[in-house]
Amino acid sequence: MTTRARPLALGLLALGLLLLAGCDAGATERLEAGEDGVFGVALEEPVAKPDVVLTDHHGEPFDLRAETDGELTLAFFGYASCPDICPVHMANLTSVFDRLPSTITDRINVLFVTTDPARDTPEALEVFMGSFDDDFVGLTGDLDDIVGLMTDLNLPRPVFEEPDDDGFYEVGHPAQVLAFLPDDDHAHYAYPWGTRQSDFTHDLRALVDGVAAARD
Amino acid sequence: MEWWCAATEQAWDWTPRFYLGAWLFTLSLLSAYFLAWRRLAPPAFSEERRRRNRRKITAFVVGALVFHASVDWPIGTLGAGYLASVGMLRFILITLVVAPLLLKGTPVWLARRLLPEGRVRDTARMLARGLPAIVIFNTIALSTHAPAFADVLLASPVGAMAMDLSWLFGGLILWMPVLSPLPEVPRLSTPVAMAYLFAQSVLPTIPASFLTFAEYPLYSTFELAPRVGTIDPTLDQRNAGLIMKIVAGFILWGRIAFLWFRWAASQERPDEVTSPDLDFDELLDEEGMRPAPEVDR
Repeated sequence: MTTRARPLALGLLALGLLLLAGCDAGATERLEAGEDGVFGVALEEPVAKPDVVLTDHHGEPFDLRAETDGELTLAFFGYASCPDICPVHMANLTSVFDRLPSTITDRINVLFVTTDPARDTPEALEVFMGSFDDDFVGLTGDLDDIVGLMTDLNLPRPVFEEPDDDGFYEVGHPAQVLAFLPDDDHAHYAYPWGTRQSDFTHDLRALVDGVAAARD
Repeated sequence: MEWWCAATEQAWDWTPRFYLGAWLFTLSLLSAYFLAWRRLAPPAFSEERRRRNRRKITAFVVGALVFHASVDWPIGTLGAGYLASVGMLRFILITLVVAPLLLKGTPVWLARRLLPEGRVRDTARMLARGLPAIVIFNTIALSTHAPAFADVLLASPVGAMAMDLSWLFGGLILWMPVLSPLPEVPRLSTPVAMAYLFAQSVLPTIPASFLTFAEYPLYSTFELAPRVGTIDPTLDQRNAGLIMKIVAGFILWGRIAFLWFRWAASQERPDEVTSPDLDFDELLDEEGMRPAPEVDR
């Protein structure tokens, strides 16, 4: 290297090192497709859809099994006052639905089950769900029923923080979306926080016809 | 309190956030600049000289303040962690507004200190040729906008700071061939400078197209960020692409137009306008660098 080029090289090296210094904190990791071509994380043991009746955001009873029988069903547990993950997941799923044809979306259920039924009345859920796709369903009910549902699905129970001075409190809840497939009404895949819209779109196209279709 | 604006999973609200690093950087930059004026500036004997000094100081201070606005709440916060379109606005502000203002605000005596004779100045001279500058700037711009790299950088305050400083460094390199504050590092001639800026206005078309026409959000940072209002990340990204092309193009074409009109005027009235930049002549006079006029003996 010539002596003239050295300062430039050193400057660029310093800049490069400074840029690389930012790599110590990673961004959200991208999902990779499994052997079956699905980006969702395959559950070791598929979980049966629980038999429970909750209340939807219009105040009507919602029989989980009967209402979603034989259809691809995504279930997410969160709460309407959630400041970050819940609205982003739901907004991303809305964007995914906007891209898919109705021949596919008509065969998919998206359920938002509250982990905070004390605040998430049907009325409150109706307001929350109004920001997302019209076909998405918000569900509420007794906390015991919801905790039981989560336990059946091997999900951790919600954790309630102490209210602040304004009475606001956050609720710890699982961040993944579970996918129940149409052929056996079992949850086979989980979509962790960070799942990208493109991965959801790919998988919903594949999974709407069931496990076998996803593997084709 | 955080060091630098970076992506967080905090919901957006209009509560101001304090970034220590951003404040320290701006205050250090301005302190060093005014200290240099106080200790190093040659005396200004004429009113015209004082007026030009004030203009230089104004340009530098405005540049520093725009930089600060770009890396502080709310623009820095929104651009680093919530909206790709505001992130692109920050990129354009830092590279196409801050960098030229800082160069315009750097007096020749300070530039000589910052770029001392020898290797450093040789490097600056080499960069000011145009082609190396445009290659280095676009390498920095493309790499820091590559989703895989940008998402990692924006995830931490150190990475986000590195990104912003690399933009500032790249912007200074980009504008050096057009606005070099040093006579010893000559600027491109006006027609070549216009062609240079035109080339730079065309090059971002490619990355801007990727942003504008991508079917899905490219950056996980903005796709997974808590939403600001009802702005969809794909639409936001489309806006980022348009900002990259249109706003950056507007600034560069504005400069091209300025160069064109001044050059045209110099062609029509060569006696009135003799140099592409009046500051150069003035400085050459003031610092005794212009060859003394021949005197009949």
